[in-house]
Amino acid sequence: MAGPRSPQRALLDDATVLSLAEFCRAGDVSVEIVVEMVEQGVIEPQGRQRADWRFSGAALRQARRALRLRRDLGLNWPGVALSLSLLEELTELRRRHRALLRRLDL
Amino acid sequence: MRYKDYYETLGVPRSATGEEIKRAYRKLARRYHPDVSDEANAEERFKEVQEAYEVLKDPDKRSAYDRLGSDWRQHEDFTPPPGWNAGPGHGDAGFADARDFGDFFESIFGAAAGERRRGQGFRMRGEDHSVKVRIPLEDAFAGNTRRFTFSMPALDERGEVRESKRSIDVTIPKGVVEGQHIRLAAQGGEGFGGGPAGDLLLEIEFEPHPRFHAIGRDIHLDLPIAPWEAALGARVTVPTLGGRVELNVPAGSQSGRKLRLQGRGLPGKTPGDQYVVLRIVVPEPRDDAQKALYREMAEKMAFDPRAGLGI
Repeated sequence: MAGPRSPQRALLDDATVLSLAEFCRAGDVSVEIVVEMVEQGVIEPQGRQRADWRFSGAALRQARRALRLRRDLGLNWPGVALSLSLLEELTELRRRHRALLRRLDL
Repeated sequence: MRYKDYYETLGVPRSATGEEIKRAYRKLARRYHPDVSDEANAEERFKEVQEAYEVLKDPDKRSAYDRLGSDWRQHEDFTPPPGWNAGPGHGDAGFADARDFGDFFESIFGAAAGERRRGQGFRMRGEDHSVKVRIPLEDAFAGNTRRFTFSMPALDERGEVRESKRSIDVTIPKGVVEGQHIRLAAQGGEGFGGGPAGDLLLEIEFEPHPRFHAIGRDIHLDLPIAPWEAALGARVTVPTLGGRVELNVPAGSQSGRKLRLQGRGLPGKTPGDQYVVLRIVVPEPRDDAQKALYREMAEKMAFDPRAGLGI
């Protein structure tokens, strides 16, 4: 494992591309659950057939967040899907708001 | 070891019913869940709420906890009497997740519960750790290698959670945008029972810059100009992240006018632009001659800026 001396290879999450099998391995999650998440609109792969499915690093993050919300808050899948899209919007709004406040010296 | 008031954590009286406790837990869990909350110590608070609920939701655990006494004084260190560990919890502790509840919890419910939680009998992937890191805009524009140092929770030899400092050198790719994440595989929380380690995610934030501010890939700059530059037009030099650029200020410009320097923002497949916002600065007259100049201008231009106000 690289120590603190050698720079870590910085993988921009958006640039990562994972197949279904790689996604399951990386997320430590079964194919059934991934398929469920895709059907519920929690994550969206590129490609039409399962064999062609390609997931981004951002999708992996979303999937993990979805599983945590289900586990910790007992949300059902539609609740998870809605929560995730609202949280994404909220995060972006909060960021822009902070930037605007800084700009107006508030 | 500190006594923990679980009732206070959940904000319920000691006489609360199971329903009241459940409701209080759900409300707080939603508020402090680290994926939902914006607060800095959300994860810590969430774990506290979980620990309190774990005890108070179960009648057996709750009564064992209550036996510690309601006349307990706060801030007094708690030393469990010998043999105290023989409380409920050695059998079915019902811990589905590997949470770290710490010394106080274990002193009541036994070390066996702790061991079981820590990976004997089940396998789980380590938690992802997410950290916000601040980089200067210049690094986002040109790319750079930086050393980041932060405190991370880690398990020591005894399996206790400790804060440890970590330093990582990371190569920031060119054109990274605020909100993007850099994934460092397997650098996150350790796995349990042989499971894989989680990842470390660095969320990019920009340091406030004295001149520029970024919205997505676009860079914004406020540009001070003189009144005659605005009125007559001018060719001015403007800073960008990539160096100085010449810009034409059109004649008849007003404050707030936005001029676009295409492709001068953060790089990318579609590079961002730089937007220059004009701000007319009125020079203060320093002597009588300058004051006279202004008065002459006032007379010769006969200009009423408030004409449209209807007063």
